[in-house]
Amino acid sequence: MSLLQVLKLPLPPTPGTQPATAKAAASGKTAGAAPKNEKLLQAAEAWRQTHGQANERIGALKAAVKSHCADAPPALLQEIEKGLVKLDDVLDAVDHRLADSLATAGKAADDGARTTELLNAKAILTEYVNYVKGGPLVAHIDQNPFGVKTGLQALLAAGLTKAAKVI
Amino acid sequence: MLAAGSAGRQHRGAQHCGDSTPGIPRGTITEAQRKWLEGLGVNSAVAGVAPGAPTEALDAARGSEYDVPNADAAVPKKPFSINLNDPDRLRIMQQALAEQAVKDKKEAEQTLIRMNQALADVKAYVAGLPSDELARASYVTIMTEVRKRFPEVAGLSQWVKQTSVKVPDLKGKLPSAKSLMDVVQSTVKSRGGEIGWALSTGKNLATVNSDRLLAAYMSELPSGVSVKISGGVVQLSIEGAALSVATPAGQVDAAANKGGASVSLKNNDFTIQVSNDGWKDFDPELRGQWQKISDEASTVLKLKADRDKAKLELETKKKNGEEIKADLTADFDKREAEFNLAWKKLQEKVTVTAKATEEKISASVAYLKKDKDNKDSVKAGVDAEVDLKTLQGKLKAYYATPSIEAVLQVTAAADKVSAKLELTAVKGGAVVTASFEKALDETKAAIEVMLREGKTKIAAELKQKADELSAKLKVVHETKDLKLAAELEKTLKDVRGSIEVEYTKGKTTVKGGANVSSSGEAGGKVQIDIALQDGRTFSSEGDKLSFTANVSTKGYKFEVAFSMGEPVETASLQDLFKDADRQIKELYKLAGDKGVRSIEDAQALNAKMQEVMAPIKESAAKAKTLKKKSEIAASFGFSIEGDWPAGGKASPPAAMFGVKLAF
Repeated sequence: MSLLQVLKLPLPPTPGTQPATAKAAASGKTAGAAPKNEKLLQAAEAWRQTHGQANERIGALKAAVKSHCADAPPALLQEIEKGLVKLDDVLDAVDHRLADSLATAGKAADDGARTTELLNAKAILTEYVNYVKGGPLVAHIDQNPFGVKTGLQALLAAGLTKAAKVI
Repeated sequence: MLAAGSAGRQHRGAQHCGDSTPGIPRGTITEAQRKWLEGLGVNSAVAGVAPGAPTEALDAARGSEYDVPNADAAVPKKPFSINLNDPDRLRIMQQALAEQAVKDKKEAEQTLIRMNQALADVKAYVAGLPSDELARASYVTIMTEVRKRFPEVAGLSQWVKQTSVKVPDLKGKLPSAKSLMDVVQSTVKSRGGEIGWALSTGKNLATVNSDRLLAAYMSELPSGVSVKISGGVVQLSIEGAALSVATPAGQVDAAANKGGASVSLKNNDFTIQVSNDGWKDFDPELRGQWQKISDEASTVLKLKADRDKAKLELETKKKNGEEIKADLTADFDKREAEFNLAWKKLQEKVTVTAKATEEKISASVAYLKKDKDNKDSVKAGVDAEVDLKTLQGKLKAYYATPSIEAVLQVTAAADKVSAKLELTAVKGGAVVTASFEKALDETKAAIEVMLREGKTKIAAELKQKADELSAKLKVVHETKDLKLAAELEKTLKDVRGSIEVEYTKGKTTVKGGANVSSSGEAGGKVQIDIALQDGRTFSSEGDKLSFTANVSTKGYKFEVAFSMGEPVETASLQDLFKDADRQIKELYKLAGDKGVRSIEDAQALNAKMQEVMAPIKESAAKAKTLKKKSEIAASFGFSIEGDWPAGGKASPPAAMFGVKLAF
């Protein structure tokens, strides 16, 4: 992400190209395409951040469980380690595809391409929402009795709501 | 950062239960925790259980009901026994299993409703396709659109497979794993689509069969898997993002997508200090402040000389009646302004520093003179008092007639007294070199990396300097020689500067933020980091199927190829893709493994990476292929027209990286 994007400023036209409006008109873009694209790119980044936070929280839970069970016999410890790997399934199910799709839509050359990619993003979003709402693993993590407040469902739901607003 | 819970609180309620069973973490895992872990598939019985646990353990376990799984929940009051002969324990487990089964069934039933609805929607969609669109379509194009429009059905096949195991009660109610293909095919057929396609392709049966096989795979494989058939070879592939892993503390950031390798020198504070806890009034910065003022006074003096020179030139010209050009006047005005500003600032600084100095030195004098029995200290105090008076005299003269010369006299007097006090403080204090040593370790580690990279000459020179620094550091500890300490600081700075120059001129970059571990690892230059950054191709050629996994920090691509003549059963492919996904992630995780990060030998590292990827080959070896036309039709649920092509061996998909590891 460029500094301009970070500062939420419009990207300058590439030297030698037509002015933004003329180019947009020529390629079938609407006048509102640039802000929309910007929002999509921001949403992609926001979802990556949400995913990263979820990863951190799951990591903290794993650390807490391992620390708590450190004195367990090796065989049980191994079992626990194996079981904890399953926690990553959440991050695999609710992965970076949404961010990738949003970014692709944000970089789309024209309205048609963007609309098509947004359909894909919407499909992924639906899949994620279903998983977060109905996936037992997310609830299982949030209900852990190791004193770690993961709040994973709330975090992911908030992230998805944010993404849904731009799709 | 998330609080990882209070270990103390967790353990407070987990008392020793008195269970004599060997090898069991007595009283450390509560019932709720045990149950939660079991929910992740953890088999707690592996701890081994001896029959006949003492009654205390049973008593303890009794009443140890499932705690509310909430961080704010009360601390479990009873410890937990994992003795499976404990009837209470068995009852609780059975109850938990029963509860879970009910929950699973309920969830599966809800999903089933959604799946059936989605299948009905698919049917309606295909049935509603305009005739001209249908005529131009194929199974592949329809399936592509269906998966896009109804993402839920893309996972139907896997869901059916999992649910039939998890909720056996529902087995009879579940749709077939290939029901998506069935629905699409039957709807297309009912609209006469197949006949139309056969006519439009000139009854090219190879095309028709390829289309059905592709669509069948698409209907059952996860949505991320792309499918194509080229030259009689089925090619399946999935791409994914690189996994960012946290490296062990104190080591470098080996995260994916970092552009270029780097050596990072983070510990930039490497001052050697003297700590004298007993003498808090002395400010070690004092002398430095006065030295700075002295330097600034010299600068102001130079500005004054420049101004005076310009003034003299101007006056001489006036006196001689020569023409005075505007630029000459302007030059004088500029120099005058510069001098005035600098002089004003210097005076302000002198006033502030003098005030603080008088206070601190007075306090120091009082401290030194406090212990009458410590003659050395009292003498140092008396000396400092004399010097302080001298300083005060110089200050008085300066305040009376402010001049740069007077400032320089003040700074000299201040330097004298603060130097003496510094010496006294040093004598009674301890040399603190922790920061220096940390930075030195970091520097040595970076030099080791240079050695490994073949920058032997420069690395050898720097290593010698670094070793000398270690030796001289001991001298500083013994002698408290601050002058030597300053030299060491300078040398270390130079050595680190040389490392930075060496890396800046090459492709690599030096950056702050990450650091170098004491074990000799430096940013991005650990072999596993290099391997993942450059990328590795893992390939296997088998009779049934071949695969290639291209893995790098930019992402991964896993591709499978097999002959259309002997297609691989979808369930085997589902397993293969799942195993590949898991093992590739494990491969990325190697970057966070301390042991792997210490592997320098390329062969050893390759062997480790192959070991991680080996389960993919095992999974591929287990894949079931379909040899007969009837088997293929039955497995995929479509009818086959004409002959099915002959089988054969498929070569592994293309390698993307120079380093290939074949199984």
